[in-house]
Amino acid sequence: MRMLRFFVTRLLGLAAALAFAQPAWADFYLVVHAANPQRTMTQKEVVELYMGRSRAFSNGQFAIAFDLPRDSPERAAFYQSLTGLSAAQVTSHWSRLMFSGQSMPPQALPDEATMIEIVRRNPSAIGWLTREPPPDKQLRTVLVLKE
Amino acid sequence: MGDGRAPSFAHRSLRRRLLLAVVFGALLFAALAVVLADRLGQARATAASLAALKAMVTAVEQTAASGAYARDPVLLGEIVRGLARNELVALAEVRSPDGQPVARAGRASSAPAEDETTIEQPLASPFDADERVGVLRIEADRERIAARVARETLVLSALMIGQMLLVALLLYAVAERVVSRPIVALARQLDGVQPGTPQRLTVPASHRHDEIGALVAGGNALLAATEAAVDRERLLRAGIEQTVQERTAELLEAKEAAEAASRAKSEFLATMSHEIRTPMNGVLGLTELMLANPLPPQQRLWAEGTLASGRHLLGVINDILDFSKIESGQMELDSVPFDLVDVVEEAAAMFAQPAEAKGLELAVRFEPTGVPLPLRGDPFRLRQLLANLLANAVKFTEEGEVVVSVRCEPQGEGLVRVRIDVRDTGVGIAPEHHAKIFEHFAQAEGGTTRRFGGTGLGLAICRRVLQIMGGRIGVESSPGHGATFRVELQLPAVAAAAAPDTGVLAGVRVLVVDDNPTNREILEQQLSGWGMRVVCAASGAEALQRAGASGVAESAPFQLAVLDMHMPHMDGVELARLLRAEPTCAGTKLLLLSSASAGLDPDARRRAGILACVSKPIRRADLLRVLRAMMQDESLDEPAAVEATPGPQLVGRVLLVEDNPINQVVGGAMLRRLGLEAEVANDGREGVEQVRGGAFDLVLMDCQMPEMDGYQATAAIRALPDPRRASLPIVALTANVTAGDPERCLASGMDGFLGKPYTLAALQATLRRWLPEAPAEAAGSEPAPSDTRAAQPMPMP
Repeated sequence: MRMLRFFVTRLLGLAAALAFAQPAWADFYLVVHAANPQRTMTQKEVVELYMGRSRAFSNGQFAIAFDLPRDSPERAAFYQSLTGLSAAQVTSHWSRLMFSGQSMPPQALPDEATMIEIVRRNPSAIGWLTREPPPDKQLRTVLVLKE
Repeated sequence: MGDGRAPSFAHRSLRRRLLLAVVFGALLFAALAVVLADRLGQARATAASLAALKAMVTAVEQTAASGAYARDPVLLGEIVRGLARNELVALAEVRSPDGQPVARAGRASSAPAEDETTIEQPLASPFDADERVGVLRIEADRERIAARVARETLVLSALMIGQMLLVALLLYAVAERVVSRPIVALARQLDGVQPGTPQRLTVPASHRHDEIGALVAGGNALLAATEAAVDRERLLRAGIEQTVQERTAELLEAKEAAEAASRAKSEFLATMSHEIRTPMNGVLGLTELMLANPLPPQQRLWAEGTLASGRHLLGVINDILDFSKIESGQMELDSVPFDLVDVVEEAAAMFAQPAEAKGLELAVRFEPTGVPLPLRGDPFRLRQLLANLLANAVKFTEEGEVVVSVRCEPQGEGLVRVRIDVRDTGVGIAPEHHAKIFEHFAQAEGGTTRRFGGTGLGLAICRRVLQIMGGRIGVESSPGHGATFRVELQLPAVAAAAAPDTGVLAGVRVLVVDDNPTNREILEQQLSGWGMRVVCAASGAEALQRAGASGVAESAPFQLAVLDMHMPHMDGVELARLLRAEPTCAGTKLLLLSSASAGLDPDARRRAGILACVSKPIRRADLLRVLRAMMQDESLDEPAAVEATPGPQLVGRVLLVEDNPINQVVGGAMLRRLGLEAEVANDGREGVEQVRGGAFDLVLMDCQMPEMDGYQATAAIRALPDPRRASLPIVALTANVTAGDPERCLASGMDGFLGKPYTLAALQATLRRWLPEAPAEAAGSEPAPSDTRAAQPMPMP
């Protein structure tokens, strides 16, 4: 009995450790240039822009999606939140599409600061952040992805 | 087709049949399997193709979905081209959710049928399973699938057929080895086996305990049985052959012995015949001659006894010889035309004297009456037969009558059925003896022979002769009531001679007087048959009454009266005298029926006014001749013509060639009695010499003589150069009665034939054919012998 209790205790402890080890990125914030007429966007519209289906906002304005580095854990979490797919699946999707050379995955940026900088300057750009951006006249959050 | 080819044909046939059955069976099953495989294969191949296509679709589904989501026509084009590269795919395309084709590759199908050969895979968004981003569609190439199926089926069929054939051939090989080969081998063996020999079939070791083994065992059993049967048959045959050979040898021996015995018997008969007849000729001839001379009464009585005894002895000998001839099959029958009337009357005439001596009436009756009965047959044997019956009838009858009734009925086809009844009123025969009396050496009773004499062969001879003639004989009798012997036979008829002319007798009134009713009846029939008007009287008194009445009551008196000589109370001669005295009978011509023996003295006859005599039994021809002469007033002064006498004397010089001295005396005396000149030669050689030396009118030639016999002598005479000798009549005298003798006589050049012993009458009758009669006045020079007709049957062959 003592042994069993010991194992159960150890197992519970391990599970708790794992749960606390998960990074706690609660929400993802999709941002565009403030001049963009798009006030809000649906998740579907965002998926289409990020998964190669569409290259324009709903008003027809050209859109360029930006991404964070490929092997960052934030990115995997983001795509998991956005599409429900794993990073590998997303990569697989893109590799299929890239076969024809017709579409390219969103351009990856080194970090979120760069992301903010580019979106602030490019009215066609759209990007995502793990933290709510500081209030800025040049930036507008169009969608918040809840965990 | 030789025998040798049959087994090989059968062998081929059996194998071929087996092979054909196996191969055809295999092919049939293969065909069924192929059809089945084709059906199943098609479905299976289609399903397989579709499954393959579906797998392809599944493989590209994610990519296609990504491409469709990203609206990437290049990617989709790549995908559909890749799909279309598969030969089973007729068309591959991706359509947008609204149905517009986005990418397409392959051959455009003519009929885009939405059936099981088309696969449509909806493409969902990779990020939202509920969102359709397009449709991936593949049309399978049905023709190619079918072709593929066909190819597969073909291969499958080939495999199956090959497999089946392989199995079939294997089976055939096994069957051939196990069944057919041993059978063929067995057949070959059987072909070579000779049934009935110890050869046997051998059974192959591997078949000892199966059906082949049983077959061989059965065949061997059959062979063994055959061999046994053949062996048995061979043994049996050998036995039979041996037996047959033995029997044949025995039979041959017996046959030779029998033939030798028969020859010896015939020779003995001929010798006997000759040896007996030669002395008999002397005895009878001399006695006859002696009786022709005046003798003292006592000696005459003794001489007559001698003659009678001699004739009886001759009869007995003839019976025995006849019977021997019949028994040895030497009896040969003549087939010559003859008149039955003559034969019967002659036979009856032989017994006229004995019958009269016993006081018996002897009568002959014919039906139909008054006509000749010309037939073809053997008159001699028939006469002999009747003589036998008559002899018996007369012998066994003490008083009364003996009547011969002859009845002829035409039977068609030229045959006449002849029935002769000889009826007597004698002692009769008990019914239990009826069959026995026709046996050899049998008489009705043992004592009869002693009482009446006789050999007992007579009836047996009659029966056998009739058997040879195809007829039969029977008897009806009971003791004390007489007997009737009935002879029945069929003889061919010959053309009837013209009926005798009886015109002169027609309507003549005639009175018949006879105390015997049978005779009266016969005479009435006979005379009526000739057209005469007959009145009968049973006695002299009745005759006188009728004669007297005739003149009164009936205007016409009798023109003729026929009177019986022997009647009680008043005999014929007396009646004649009385009738003469009747005025009404003045014109009546009188005919006396006399007996054969008592030739009436001509003087007494004339005194009684009797015009003519006819001896009883009446011969129809004689009666007719006499009646016709009487009615035509012809001279009847020749009693010899009516009575039984030897006839006229002859003229000529005769050489008698005879070795027996006594018979030389007999023959010489008889010839001289006939008025002939006789010379004697002692043997054939002497005879020839005398013929060469002297002039003879005829030669009487004995056949059996020493030195040179009659045949050789005749040949020698015929060979003489003088042509007159060639026509010299030579008459054979032979004591041999065996068949063929007359033929032999005639063949050796003789002209006639006379059997020994011969009577004077027979000699006279024979010689008359060649020698002329003496002038009439010579006739009475010597008294004629009284009785020569009532002799025993002539011993003729």
